[in-house]
Amino acid sequence: MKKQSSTTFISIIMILALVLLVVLVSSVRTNQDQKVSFTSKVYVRDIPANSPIDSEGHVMPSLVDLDLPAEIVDPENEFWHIDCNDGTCVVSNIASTYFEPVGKKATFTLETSGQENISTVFSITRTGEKNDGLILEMEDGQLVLHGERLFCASVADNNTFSVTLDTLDDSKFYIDLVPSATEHMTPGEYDIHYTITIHVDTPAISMTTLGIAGAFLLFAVALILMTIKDSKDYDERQQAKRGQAAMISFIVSIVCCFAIGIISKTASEFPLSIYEATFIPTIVGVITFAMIADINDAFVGYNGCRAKYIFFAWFMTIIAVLSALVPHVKSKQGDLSRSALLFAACFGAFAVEMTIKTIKDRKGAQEDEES
Amino acid sequence: MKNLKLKAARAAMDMSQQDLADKVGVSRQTINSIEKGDYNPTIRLCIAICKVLGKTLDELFWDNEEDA
Repeated sequence: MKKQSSTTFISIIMILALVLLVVLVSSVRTNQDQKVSFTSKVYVRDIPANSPIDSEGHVMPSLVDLDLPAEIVDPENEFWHIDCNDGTCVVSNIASTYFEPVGKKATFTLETSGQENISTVFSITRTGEKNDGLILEMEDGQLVLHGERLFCASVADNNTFSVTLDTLDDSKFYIDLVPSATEHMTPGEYDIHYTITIHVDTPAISMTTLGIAGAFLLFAVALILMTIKDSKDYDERQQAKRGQAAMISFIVSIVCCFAIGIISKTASEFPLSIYEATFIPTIVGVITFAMIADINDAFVGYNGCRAKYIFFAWFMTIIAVLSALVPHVKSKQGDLSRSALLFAACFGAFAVEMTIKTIKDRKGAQEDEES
Repeated sequence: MKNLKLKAARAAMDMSQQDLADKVGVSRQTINSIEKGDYNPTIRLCIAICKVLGKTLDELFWDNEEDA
């Protein structure tokens, strides 16, 4: 009894420590700004005579006509952007800056310096969920960024411009900079220096996190108290077998976690969502415990009723199979049909094992009566 | 090693494994495991079984070489 009390105390202390850790981790404010600084070379040229004009009236000279260095004129080089204005073309090659913020709001700040007659079009585009592959595509010889344009502004030389946007969970943000002449300029090469600073604001403590941590704490304490209370229903052999089953199922869960981790690192496309990746080791571990304990006659206490557990296992299997058959059930976390199928497989295996074991037990009891 | 002494003592009292298990407060499979020699019970369980069957520990659980 004394040993049981100390085990309970240690378990509760461990859970409290875990919850405290969750709260601490969730409360860490992301104060570290991300800063990117670079210098970009731009080529300023006069608009060549007889340059083609597009449907919107913009002059669209080709790189060949702009008397640029040979490496730029290379037709394989896709990353040059031409902006023509006031008789002047500005040729630049600033690649998009990619960013995935984790937090509630992100403040993007752009600082420019270099040439007073060159301003920069500063735009931010969102490309939807993190798994979206669409980013840049060539259209009519121009590089086009697909997605929702959230913001666009012209930032003059030696200026700083800031914008704060909602991070919109699961979004990728692409920052694009396009230098443009504000008035006619003397042809030449100019260096423009840019500094992009991204500050992500995370709330000190999320109420959702606190709520989840609290619910988890209550659930864990209730589970431990129930387990200790229920352990009186198992005899000494059953308790020993349950201990063995718990150890084996723990190892199985750990192996599952490692396997999923290795697959996520090696597979070119990870086939599981985060929900599935956490769900699989949990359900496999629980079912492994239940099956090993039951094979050793230690899943149901010696005064317990097996029938209700068998009924529950078959009921869960049927419900899971039915939900797996519902077409196109998908959620943000992943494919529910796939998870339901896994759930059905696990509970189905357990239900079959329990049923076979019950039939064998009845035969064993009959043989005992006869002997 | 099978515990035939326990099985014999139980049979002498016309008790099934389930009856003995109920009186001792364990599962039928545990009594079955002890009789088959698959499980070594603790001294506490041994005493409980002895009390129910009216035997001493030596009579049920002492391993005489000539019995083996």
